[in-house]
Amino acid sequence: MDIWKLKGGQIKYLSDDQIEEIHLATLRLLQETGVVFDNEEALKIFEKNGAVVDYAKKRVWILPSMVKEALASSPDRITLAARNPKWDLILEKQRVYFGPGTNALHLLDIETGKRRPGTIQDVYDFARFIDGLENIHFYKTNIWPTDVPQETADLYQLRASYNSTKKSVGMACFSRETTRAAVKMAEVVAGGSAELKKRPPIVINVLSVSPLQWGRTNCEIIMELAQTGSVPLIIGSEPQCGTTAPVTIAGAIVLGNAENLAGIILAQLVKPGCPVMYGMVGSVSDMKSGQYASGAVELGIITACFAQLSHYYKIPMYSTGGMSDSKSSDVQAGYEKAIQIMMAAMSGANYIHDTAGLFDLCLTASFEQFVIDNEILGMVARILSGVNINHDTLALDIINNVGPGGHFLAEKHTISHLKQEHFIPEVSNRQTRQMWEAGGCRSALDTAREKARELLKKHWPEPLQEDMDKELLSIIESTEKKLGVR
Amino acid sequence: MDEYEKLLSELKESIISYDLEKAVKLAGIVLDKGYDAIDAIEKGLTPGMDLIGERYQSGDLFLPELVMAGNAMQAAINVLKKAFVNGNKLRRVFGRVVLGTVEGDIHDIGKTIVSSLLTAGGFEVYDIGVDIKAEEFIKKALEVNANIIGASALLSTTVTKQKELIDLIKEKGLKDRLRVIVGGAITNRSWADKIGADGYGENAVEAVAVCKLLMAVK
Repeated sequence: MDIWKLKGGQIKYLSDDQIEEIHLATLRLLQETGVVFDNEEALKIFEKNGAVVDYAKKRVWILPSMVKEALASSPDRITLAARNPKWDLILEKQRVYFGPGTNALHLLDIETGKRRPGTIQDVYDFARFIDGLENIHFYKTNIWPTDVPQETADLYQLRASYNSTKKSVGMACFSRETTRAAVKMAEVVAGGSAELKKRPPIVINVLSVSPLQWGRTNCEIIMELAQTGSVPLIIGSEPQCGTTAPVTIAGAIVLGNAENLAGIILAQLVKPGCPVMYGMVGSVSDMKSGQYASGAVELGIITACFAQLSHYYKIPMYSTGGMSDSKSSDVQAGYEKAIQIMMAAMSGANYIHDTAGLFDLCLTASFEQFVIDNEILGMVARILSGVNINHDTLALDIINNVGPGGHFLAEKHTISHLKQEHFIPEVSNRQTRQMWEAGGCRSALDTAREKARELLKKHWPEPLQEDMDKELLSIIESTEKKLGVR
Repeated sequence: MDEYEKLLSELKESIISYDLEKAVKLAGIVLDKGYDAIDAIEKGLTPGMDLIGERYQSGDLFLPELVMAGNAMQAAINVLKKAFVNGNKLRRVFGRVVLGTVEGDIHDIGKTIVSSLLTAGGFEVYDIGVDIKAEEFIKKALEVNANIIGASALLSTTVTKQKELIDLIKEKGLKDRLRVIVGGAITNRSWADKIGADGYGENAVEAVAVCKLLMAVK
């Protein structure tokens, strides 16, 4: 099994007709209901390009021809570069990659087990931690640092990420100024503007506000990144069935699709051909409390449907799967996460974030949970790797040699194929009860905690060279000056 | 059961079955027949809302049912308000709350849920929407004689507006008259304390409890 060559598509949740129906319904929604863009510059761009615009209502009605053009000009594939080029992500078709996400406000302290607010040191620690987890392909900033200036916290996250992992880095930006700065920082790490174009080592995401709204700042960020023509931008939505979207899954899908396409059209109007990813973080709301149900099975369903839409549109996808509403690494965390990851991966979603280390309504990160999730991801990766059927794997001559009543343990064939054919667990316990009791009755969490502590102690990827890091810091400081911070 | 008692019973039922049209129609009848509007609210609508609130807290109702009941209640009150003379005879409420999402932020669903629960909990709520400047919060609060302003924020870049609001209230010398509660996923108790908020709730249910506490202490 090659973890860097995973392909999904084993699940095709909707039929081709259903996909077509959703697309046509979306065209109708865009043309008849429209979308709000709270940004005058964006409204002008839409009007100039043929949309119907009401400036007072900040609303745009988009014609089907505009959708077609934007889809045609959006690239089919995107490379996200890593400091270790072997770890570049090739986002196209049904290639699948797993990573964490996004900006939990707290973490469970690995020593005390207590929940505490995130710090910039935690960003450094989590980034280098995932660098050492073999089934995780990228780092999307997973913890929010509360101990740095909040106006530039996203930039401190980026600096910490680049210094701590050689896997590719993704993030969210919160202002036009920090977006500009993040692009400059990425250019430094890439090694210049030409390199930034060829192998961009960054992706930045923005989300709409359902139903049918793009906020002022996120419009600015879309336009800023689209203008570069080369820095990948995730344009996504997070509709919640029952509160900010219709209670029906189909209604939420058409709503989220409309918001995504509207945002992508804006980007393509600014700069045709700029690399965009089509994003989905939607789920149901818990209908007792109204809160986002991050661990819901429906999130997996919605992800699977959007994965299919992304293939239909031929735009790389930013997807979600692997969360839980449990407040700890318990049984609920296990089943909620596994179901979501399976749905996302098997439907061929590309960049699947939130797959590891996150629970508690997206509010809390955990090192131990990362280790457990790494195991789940390994199991799902095994599913995606499929069954090889060829002369060698059918093993007819081996079976013939071993014969009735024999065994396969001593066959060269067994040892030579073992690691490709079997997933070897590191957290799951397969011992007999006796051995397990003799070992102290350790749970999966106990094992995960031990591995997490070990990895935190031992895994130290090479940071950026000092000069480069100084340059990143000076970009942050000059941004802070511009914003009047400190 | 006399005609008035029957009407009260039907008013209560219209809330329990979250039937907005029926609640509005019955409120109209109260006015037509010249019955006491305040009495109709307190003996007809409020008991219905109390029951809805109880059922919701005990987990028997879903949020949409609560919100719809709250909307029916609000619609009926809006009809009956016509009979209040110059605000002289204001109905007994726990308090008046102005709710909004701060400037630069358009997230709205959390605040909307708080609005429903506060209405269910016996408060008079004025939800002024999203992207609201500090001055607008204060202006509305003074206009409706509110006791509490609830300011919601979801983003790290807009949460500072909650502090701006509180600072402006202090500046205007209104700290004793207007209490401020804050909420939203980006906020927490220590932020609320730091900026001098009078209350904080981690979710909508807590928000109601905090408002009740603030009104009791007042």
